[in-house]
Amino acid sequence: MIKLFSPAGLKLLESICFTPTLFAFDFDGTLSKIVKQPDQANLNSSTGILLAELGKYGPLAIISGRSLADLMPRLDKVKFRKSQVHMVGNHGLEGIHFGKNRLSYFDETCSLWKSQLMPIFGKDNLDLKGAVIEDKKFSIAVHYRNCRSKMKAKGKILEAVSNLSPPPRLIMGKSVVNVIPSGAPHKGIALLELMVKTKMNHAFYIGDDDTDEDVFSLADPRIFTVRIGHRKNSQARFFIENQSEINTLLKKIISFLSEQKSKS
Amino acid sequence: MNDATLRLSELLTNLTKLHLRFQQLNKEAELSCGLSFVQWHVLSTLVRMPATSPRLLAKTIGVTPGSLTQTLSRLEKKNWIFVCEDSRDARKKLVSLTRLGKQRLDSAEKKYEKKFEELFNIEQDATKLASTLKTYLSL
Repeated sequence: MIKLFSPAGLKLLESICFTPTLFAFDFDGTLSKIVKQPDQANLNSSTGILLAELGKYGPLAIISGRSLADLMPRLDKVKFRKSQVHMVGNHGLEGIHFGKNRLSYFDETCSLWKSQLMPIFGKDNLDLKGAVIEDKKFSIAVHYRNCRSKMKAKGKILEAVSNLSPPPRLIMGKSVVNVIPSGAPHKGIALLELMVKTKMNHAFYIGDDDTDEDVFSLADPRIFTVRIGHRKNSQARFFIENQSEINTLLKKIISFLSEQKSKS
Repeated sequence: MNDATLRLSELLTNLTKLHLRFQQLNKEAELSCGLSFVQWHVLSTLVRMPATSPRLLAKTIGVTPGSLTQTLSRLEKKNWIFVCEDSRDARKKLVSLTRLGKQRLDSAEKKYEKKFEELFNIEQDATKLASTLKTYLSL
């Protein structure tokens, strides 16, 4: 991975601003900081202002693991041009057009899984005390951030979800196990669909988590991928050190785009 | 020399003249606009394909990677393009347009209009010749 804020990284970042590009972002841990209580995650006002400014130059996308119903209110205060922002939730399951039958299947599967998990989490299991099952309608997230021993909690959760029927796809997040119906689209597919929808030949995507590796591992030369934090086996091409650099990144992109616009 | 040989000779002469016309135009473009057609073609392709591999760039332009090497080298020396390692595979390179290259491209395009007309004339003549050659080869 190349450091994005290196001379080489910045030159490459500038070069994607020479051509129409879809700028896409993960939410938790990327646009907003990771917080102990997921419902407390919110967009910093300065980031919101920069995001709205970026939206003036072309289409934006926010691709999150949260459900759309959970995500959208957190972006209410940002003064986007509505037509320019595309929101995708549930790791790619919501916000992209799929058949109703397929969505119903995902919904039913998650309900079934929840009924299988609740008895395990309901028991007096000290290792799972503090764990929270989040029902996102089309997927489930099991948070263990507030468990006494995260390692033990993770072990118990993985044991529980590995016995689910039908078998799910699991994506590990930061102190969360994401339980997703097999065969469901992921963030990578969502981004490709958005590129078609917005008629953009190129995309920029930044994320912080294993769930974003579905985008990074597309290995599509048209997609400029950035991970928050360096990770040796990440498929992302570039990285920034941490989430606190997101505003610096947004300002850089805006300055590159603004320069192009002033010359055209 | 029989008729067929004469015709072939004439055809090849015309093709050679066409090739020389293009070479001459390419040189004139570089002298007057600071950018040859070949260089323009590479830079304008890179605008649409940032951070691309030389192999993919060559394929898109319609040349072999080997024949593109010299052009890329010249463009890099002028700081119009930038070449760096591909973080996914250290054996591979990525090529991108620099800010200077973009500025050069934008200013050249304004001066190129008349030169483009001549280029289209060459294309039309080449198409006619290609058709003649095809007919000749099918006989």
